[in-house]
Amino acid sequence: MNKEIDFSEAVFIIFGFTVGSSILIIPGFEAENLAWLVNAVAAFIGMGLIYFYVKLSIMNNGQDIIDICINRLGPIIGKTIALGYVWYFFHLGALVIRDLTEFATLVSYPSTPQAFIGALVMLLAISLVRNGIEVIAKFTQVLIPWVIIAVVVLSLLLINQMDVNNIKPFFSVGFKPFFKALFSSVSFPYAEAIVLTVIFPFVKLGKKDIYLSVGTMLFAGMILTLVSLTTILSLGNIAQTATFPAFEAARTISVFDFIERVEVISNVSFLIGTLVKLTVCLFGVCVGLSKILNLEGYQSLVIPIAILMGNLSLILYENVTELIMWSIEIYPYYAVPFQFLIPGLLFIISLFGGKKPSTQA
Amino acid sequence: MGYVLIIIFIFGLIYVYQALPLLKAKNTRELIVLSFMMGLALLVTALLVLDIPIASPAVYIEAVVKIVLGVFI
Repeated sequence: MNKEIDFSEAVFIIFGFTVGSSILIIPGFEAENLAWLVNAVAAFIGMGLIYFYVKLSIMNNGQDIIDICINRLGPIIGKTIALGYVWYFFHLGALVIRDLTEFATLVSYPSTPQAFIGALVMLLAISLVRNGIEVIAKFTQVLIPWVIIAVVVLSLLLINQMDVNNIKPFFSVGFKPFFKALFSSVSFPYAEAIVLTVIFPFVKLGKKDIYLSVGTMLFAGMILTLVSLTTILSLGNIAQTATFPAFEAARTISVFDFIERVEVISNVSFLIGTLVKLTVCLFGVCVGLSKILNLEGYQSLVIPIAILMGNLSLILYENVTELIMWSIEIYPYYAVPFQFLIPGLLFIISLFGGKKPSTQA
Repeated sequence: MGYVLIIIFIFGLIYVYQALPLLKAKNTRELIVLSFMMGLALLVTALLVLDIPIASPAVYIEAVVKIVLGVFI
């Protein structure tokens, strides 16, 4: 397989995927005013996880999780587990679309059907995925810096709304809610980086790039910690009950009664991040399924899978409350086998030998 | 029902657009997969348009997770 992009280009995809939808649906608010600390600790665990995923790929000649499953576990068990991964990527993509459509209908377009908004986003994702990893990388390279700038600018504009007393009393929630929130925050978004392994066969992956990926994850973690901290400092207790806390915080920005209504910047950042995440998920499903079915290319699968993904996003949940409750209560446990158990098993098998992986990615 | 006809027409166009190059290349395997996937996509979309309820997979996942958690924790 041709190595189409450098790892320095892939880091934008890693960053965009990690920050993605988490920039508005900030994880860790189960720990109330400690959400920022939860995010900071989760970022460090996320660094370990991306190291582990990249290492796993390097140990298997730069293959993705689908190839590793098939080559290490044999065609029957391997393809069955790989099919499980394809489902996970598919479901995750549908969740991302639903996050975006719920957000758009709640805050911007209350009369527009979610299906229409979803269809528009899917059209962009289809175009990106059909054009290949190079276009996805260029797209993220152009747009992700704007997300970073937006976060920094919004945080600076929020300074006059911040109150340090909002993070007090420190550690009032106790250890159990803290660790529950930490578990939830690690599984969304940091451990979702397992999806990113699907881009590794297309990337020139060197041994030193492992540290670049760790650094990218640290930076993404810093951004998410900054967003959660500024949200808590400016909103206080309201942040814990808000559906999209960072958006609510951006709505409060008012500098000299002159700079106002800048929440649109957070909308755009969310849209870009979500689109990157959705694109990677769609890419993962198409590439994964084409490998399982031994197809020559994945392009013909993109449109039907995108339509099915959009449909799934509509039938998954009745409303946004159900979506959030499911994401907090069920998703972290549901994702454990895909994010930790199977990669862990494959790592052990790769470490102690077993069947030699094919060089063909 | 009119919406379903429109959807069938649009999906048909997409199918033809994608299937023609595969037919020319005699790529039977990919053509079969494409036909199946497009058929499934059309079926699910038609059910949604006709307001026929489809069970959410999230319900089944939740049930499995709760059973597993109940057994192990």
